Amino acid sequence: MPSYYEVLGVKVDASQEEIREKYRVLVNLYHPDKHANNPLRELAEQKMKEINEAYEVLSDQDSRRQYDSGGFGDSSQSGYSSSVSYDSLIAQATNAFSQRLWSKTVEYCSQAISLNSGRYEAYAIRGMALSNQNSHSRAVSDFEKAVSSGGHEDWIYANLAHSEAELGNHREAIRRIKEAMTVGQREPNYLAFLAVQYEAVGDKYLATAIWDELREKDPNNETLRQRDQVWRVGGTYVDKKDVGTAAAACACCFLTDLLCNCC
Amino acid sequence: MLGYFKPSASLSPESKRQYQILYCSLCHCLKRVYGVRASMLLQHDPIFFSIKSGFMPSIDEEKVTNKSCIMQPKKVEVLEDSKAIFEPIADFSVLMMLLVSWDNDFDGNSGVRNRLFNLIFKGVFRVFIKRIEAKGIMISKLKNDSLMALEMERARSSTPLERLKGFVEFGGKLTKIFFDLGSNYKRGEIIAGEMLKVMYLVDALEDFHQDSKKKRFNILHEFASTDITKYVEDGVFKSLEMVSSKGKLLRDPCFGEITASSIDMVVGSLIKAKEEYCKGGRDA
Repeated sequence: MPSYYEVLGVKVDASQEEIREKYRVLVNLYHPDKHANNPLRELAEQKMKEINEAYEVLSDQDSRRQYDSGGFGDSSQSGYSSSVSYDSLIAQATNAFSQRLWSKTVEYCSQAISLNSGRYEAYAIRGMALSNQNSHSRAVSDFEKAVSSGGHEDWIYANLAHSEAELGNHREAIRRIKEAMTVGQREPNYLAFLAVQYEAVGDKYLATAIWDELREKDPNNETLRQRDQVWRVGGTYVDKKDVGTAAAACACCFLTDLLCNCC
Repeated sequence: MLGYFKPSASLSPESKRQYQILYCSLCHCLKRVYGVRASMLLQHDPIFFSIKSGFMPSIDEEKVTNKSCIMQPKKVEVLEDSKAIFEPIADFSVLMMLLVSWDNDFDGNSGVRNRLFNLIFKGVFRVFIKRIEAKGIMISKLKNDSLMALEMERARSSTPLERLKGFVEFGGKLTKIFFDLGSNYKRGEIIAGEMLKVMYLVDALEDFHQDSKKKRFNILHEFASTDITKYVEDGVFKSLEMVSSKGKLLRDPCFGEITASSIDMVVGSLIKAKEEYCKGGRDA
């Protein structure tokens, strides 16, 4: 477990101003609004919790003294002596990821791994950035390292499953997405992914069962809608069988949509 | 700006921006490799293909830079250091136009428009031939394969889709040559083939009456079915389903929105083609 000093990325003798300043920076980096539509949302939430907990203790003189007397204040014990900590690099990597700066994300994570190769976050985030760069073999290797370093979280298994699928290893993808659903919930997107993988290996029976489960759980799932042959015409969902008749009225909307938006 | 698989203008601002980055990057790549005229060959379909086949990685904002637009006096965002991605798409875009030129030659079409087209893009095609021969691909072999596909298209067959078999096969082969999809090459072949079917069918339905008036070949002309529109509709929907289900399950929300919107636009094109067909029938 990292010490509160490591969580905030400050030295053990840091002043209250330094702690406050670092806290502000971290809150800004992990703010939930920045990661709303981001696969790292869960990690950001978890980090935010750790940061708040650390700040609560270290910002109060009495509780800080009490915490330090427990041995955490000793920099040799915490192994922390540099101003750049693993956690602050993870914060920067998370922020870079949310800004879609893949190369920068990889860079921060690699630095974090060189500081501490026993923790999972850096491997997992680097894996996601590599996957976005279509480097799926390297991504799989990173996700596997994340899992073996204790990263037993559904989003890590789910990302591992996606990269395995991109490499054509559909059976492995099925195994991994099932692990994601064991650790976490049977989320609609995981179900859709699982159904597609079953189809890829030719198991139509299981695929149908999973599609049915998804239909019950989230009838508006985008993948499911496309699967159920419901198409969007002029901004409205139209059943395939009605496209030729009812949807013809939408042709005007379609024509206005045609106004080109390109350079 | 050609193509059926293009997103609508109602995309979310971020997806629209990302699509424009891809589109403008391709335009700049065409200009850099083939000269300014090649920018006129810019198409939407190869971009859609590259996303749905998994060839296009998510945009790295670090590589986004501002450049002057080739067509208009404005600044546009493009991706830097992305030759490995955009050059195959640019080569493929030029090849698609070269196929049109071979198609016209096959039909003995020596009209002014065709001659002008060949004249404008002569230099572009020359560069293309040099580039692909440097990769060890013989242009004569490509032309031969394309002519064989055309012969199959023109031969009497039971259904229009039967006629397209040669092109579907040829399209799959081309994607293998131009796009390094690794273990996903089969997915690329399927998507390319299904996209080709959609484009041919919608185009044939839209131009049905005009083609017969101008005595031009149309795959639907000799089709005995009384309900051509239903045949086209079923064919297009089946292909779109294949593209949706066999294509990459996109986790990038912008790419997901772009491809879903492009598929919707194809449905819109189909409706428009049906209207055109029905209108032509009434006029006749």
